[in-house]
Amino acid sequence: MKRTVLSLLLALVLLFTVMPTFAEDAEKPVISIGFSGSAASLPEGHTLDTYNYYLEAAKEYANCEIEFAWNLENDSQKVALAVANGEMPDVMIVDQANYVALLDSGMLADLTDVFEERQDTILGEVYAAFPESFEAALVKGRLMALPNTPQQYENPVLWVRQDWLDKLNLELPKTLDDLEELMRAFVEQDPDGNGENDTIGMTVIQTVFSDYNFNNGMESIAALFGAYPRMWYMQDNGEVIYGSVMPGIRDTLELVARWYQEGLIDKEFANHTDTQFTEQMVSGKVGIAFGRGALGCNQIQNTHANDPESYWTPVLCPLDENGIYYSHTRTPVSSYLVVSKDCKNPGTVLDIVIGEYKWHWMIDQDEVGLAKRKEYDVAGTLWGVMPLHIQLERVPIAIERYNAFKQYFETGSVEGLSAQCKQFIAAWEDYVADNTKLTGWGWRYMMYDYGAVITADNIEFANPCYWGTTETMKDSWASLRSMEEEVFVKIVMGESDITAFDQFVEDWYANGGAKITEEVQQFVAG
Amino acid sequence: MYRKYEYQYYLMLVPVLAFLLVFHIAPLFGIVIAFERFLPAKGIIQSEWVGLKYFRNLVSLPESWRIFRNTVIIAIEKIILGIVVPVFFSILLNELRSVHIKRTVQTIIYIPHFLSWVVLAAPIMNIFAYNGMLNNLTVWLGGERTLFLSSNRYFRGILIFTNEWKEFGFGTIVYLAAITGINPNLYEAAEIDGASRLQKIIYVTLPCMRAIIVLMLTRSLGNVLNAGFDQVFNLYSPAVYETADIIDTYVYRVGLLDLNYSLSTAMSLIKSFIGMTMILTSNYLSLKLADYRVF
Amino acid sequence: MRRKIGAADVIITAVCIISAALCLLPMLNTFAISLSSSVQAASGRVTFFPRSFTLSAYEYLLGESQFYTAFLISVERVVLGTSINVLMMILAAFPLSHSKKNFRPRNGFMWFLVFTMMFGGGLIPTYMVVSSVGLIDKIWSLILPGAVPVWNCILLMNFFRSLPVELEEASFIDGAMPVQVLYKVYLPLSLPALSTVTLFSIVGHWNEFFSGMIYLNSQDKYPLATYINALVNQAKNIMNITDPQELQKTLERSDTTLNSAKIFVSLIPILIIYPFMQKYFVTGLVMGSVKE
Repeated sequence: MKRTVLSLLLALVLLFTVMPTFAEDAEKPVISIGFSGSAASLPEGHTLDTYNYYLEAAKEYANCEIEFAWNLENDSQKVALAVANGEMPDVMIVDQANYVALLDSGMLADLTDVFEERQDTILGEVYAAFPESFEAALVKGRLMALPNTPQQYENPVLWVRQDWLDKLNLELPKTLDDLEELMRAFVEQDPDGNGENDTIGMTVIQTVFSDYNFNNGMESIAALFGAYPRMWYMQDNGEVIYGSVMPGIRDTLELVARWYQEGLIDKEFANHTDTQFTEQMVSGKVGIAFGRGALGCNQIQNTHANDPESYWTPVLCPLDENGIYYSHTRTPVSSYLVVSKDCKNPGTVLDIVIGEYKWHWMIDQDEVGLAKRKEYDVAGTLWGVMPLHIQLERVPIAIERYNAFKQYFETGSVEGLSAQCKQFIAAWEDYVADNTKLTGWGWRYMMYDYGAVITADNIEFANPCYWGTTETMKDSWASLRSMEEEVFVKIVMGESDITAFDQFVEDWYANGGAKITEEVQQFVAG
Repeated sequence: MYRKYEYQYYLMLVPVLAFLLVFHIAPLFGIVIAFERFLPAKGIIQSEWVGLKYFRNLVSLPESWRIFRNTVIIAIEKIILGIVVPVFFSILLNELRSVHIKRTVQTIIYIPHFLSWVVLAAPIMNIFAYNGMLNNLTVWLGGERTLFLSSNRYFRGILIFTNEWKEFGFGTIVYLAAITGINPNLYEAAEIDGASRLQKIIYVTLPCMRAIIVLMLTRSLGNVLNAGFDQVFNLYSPAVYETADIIDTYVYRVGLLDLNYSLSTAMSLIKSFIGMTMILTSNYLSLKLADYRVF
Repeated sequence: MRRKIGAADVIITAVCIISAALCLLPMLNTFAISLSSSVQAASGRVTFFPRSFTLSAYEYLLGESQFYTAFLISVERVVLGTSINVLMMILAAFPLSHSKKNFRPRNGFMWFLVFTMMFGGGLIPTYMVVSSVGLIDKIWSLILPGAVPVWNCILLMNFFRSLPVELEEASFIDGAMPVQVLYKVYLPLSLPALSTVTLFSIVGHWNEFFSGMIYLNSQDKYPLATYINALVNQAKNIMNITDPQELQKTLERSDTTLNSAKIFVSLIPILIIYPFMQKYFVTGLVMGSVKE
């Protein structure tokens, strides 16, 4: 008797736990996503995790339900702890360090087969265009993650306040000396005309050099001296070297330190994060900054909104005596979309990516789809809303967009352009009709003005030869990295003199750097 | 009587011990991570045992030495000032004639104790910024602007000062209450002996405060290693690692930003030992100096 | 017997008043920035008076639902967390306040408590435990791991120890059990000490941000301190707004001004609670520690 009651109870409990799954469409798989996104501005009623067009498009294409394991603007700590705890959602996007940790632990699903099944979708197209990125995620010939594709032609160039130049009757700088002179003029000659000595020549990133060729790094100056900070570089003699210990860095630091000493660059750069930099720029205190194209539709657009007199010009500077500008490309991969080996439908995960990108790129979309897309563009909703926003491209978009604007300005026609490029140009037309609609203004800056500069033929790009994590790096990279950051900042601030750099190089090799260089050399040699 | 009801004491302790076992003792097994090459999927039990590798690693790291040095120096300076300033100030406050001013000052000075470093970081940065108030004041007095927050010469001083600024009010109130509790007869006796105001402070007030000073000292010894993280983390930058990087900030960077779980755990373990030494010392000191058993 | 006010008194008064003023500076500064325009705030010229006075930061704040949510979560956390903390402190302090004679294993338990205070497993093992008991993403993850604040237990225990033993012995003779002694005798006598540890607990829960950052999975579950920390430490994407009017407004209340407003509002509850507790608080702290 007792047993019957018990089993009846058990059956009831079971029934109730199973019920909800029956109620829904039982066939649809549920994918759980570790989500890190942001909504700059979503239209009324749209949210990051319950309803938005990207989410709907992805769910429809992949025929699945999506749930979010977490939803954080910055999930790096969450990922680190989840990985440490040996747990992960079906899919998430991680950086190099976490990718290696997951790989080492054998927590990742092999995506080779499901990818091959989708070879003829846009996903195949993407990696056919960027084979280097694809190879970065291969382990013994098996695909262990979907890597991002690099943003080519996204190198920093020099942005200069054109209205200040005009006011002071100066010309755009070309050489390093021009740059220095211009900074001095911007600091000393009160270009904003408020009678106060409050303008900054140039802003510099907290760590002097940036990681992924980001804004405000001094990479272009180092490149002029033949050094490529924070990048593994293959020298002509076939030997690998870590860019930050190259002799050219010494020259760069010495120069920047002198500029700092003479008050030409932001006094407080060592304490400033991107937020303060943006604030300084938008409030009209900065005249020169190294930055990428996206600066155009962000900070520069906001500066213009704040002060309609302000205009910026992107320019290649510093040039060497032959008029060449040097820069280095980003590593082919910086983030990975990884699928848990416990995920039952890895193919569905890939379908989510295809679905969201088809909508993003406006491929096979009907009128309704296009209208929705326009709605997001007008609202300023960005790709950060995508449920899985691993950055993918099919062609170097910088060139595609530049050519689109060029065609439009030359011929006035948008014939043959991609649906997305047509949207960009439509936004520009909106601005021409109504000059408070600054979206198009910023896009033109980012895509056309910057595009013209970055696609010029007097640029030489250096490419990284390695971007992974070696065995010794796992133990010593963190400490080598903080040593590097600290020494460089101190040299620039004048707390240490330039001989500290020589000491740094010695310490760097002695504390694991030599071993790591050897490992990288071996890897590159195959 | 006590024997008969002893079971009730046990019962009361059950929930307390349960929470401590789950959330304090269970994680202790994680210390093993410090001795293995920890791989998440393999878990604590199956990861490869590497013995003291990470400890040797730590010893060989160039920054380890200065992390320990910074941790200990900052801790000790905070402890010393944390006693001296509030004791001095409470005596000062006690000497105030006006009850109204006394009460107002008392109320205001310990507000900062209740604010978190997250909140305080912004105004502190404003005050010490290059264009901030302190620099404006320096210039007005004829000095030159200084980058306080990225200077190794000043940063530790700022840490100690702002910490003292935040906590001195709290200490002051405690000491002041102790002073108020001193038997007035002692002062009267001193007055009859012709003691001056200063002499009364030295020979009556201070000796009577001994017990409370020791207790507060013990409290700060136990807390000081943990109290540093929030403050340093919210104020520092690579430029001042040399003087400001402490064990906790290092553990955070290595463990959570660089995912070196084993190294970070090894460092935590070392910190636990330093912490233990401090707490045991303080208990010993308070027994010795004030005949007061804390535990 | 009134003494003349001498030079020493003037100096003492001045020092005290200046120190008190110094304590208010940062808050005044925050308040002034929250009422200034963003350009003025960014230029670092705001000291103690707002420049280009504007209420736009507060206007925006009133319209932001996440701030309210975070505020309410913090209140919930304080209520739940403090109740559990105080209960645990009493349960731990009372048995341990007895001498070894009256409660034999007293010293063993005491050292166990002290041991947990000294040794911690560190962040990652603790996370693993919290995760394995299923607390991740729940408000309890902010409360249960710190349910027993050992240091405050010791504080309360020392207060209990300062009460005369005869109280308990007399109650026993009247036929009371320890539970009743605690409830009817000890607790009513310990109000000052209790309010002290309660205040510590409230403030601790209100200000603690780290566990929220680590254990919670979504921003709309963050308590206020974690939310503010996220605002202050993460560069926020203010740059992608395209509607010019919205843009103008955003620029007017750049991050610095808005954050200052949020910080200022977050201080208010603490400033309200504190005067109520103040009366007991001091006596509580001192009585447990000073012996005649």
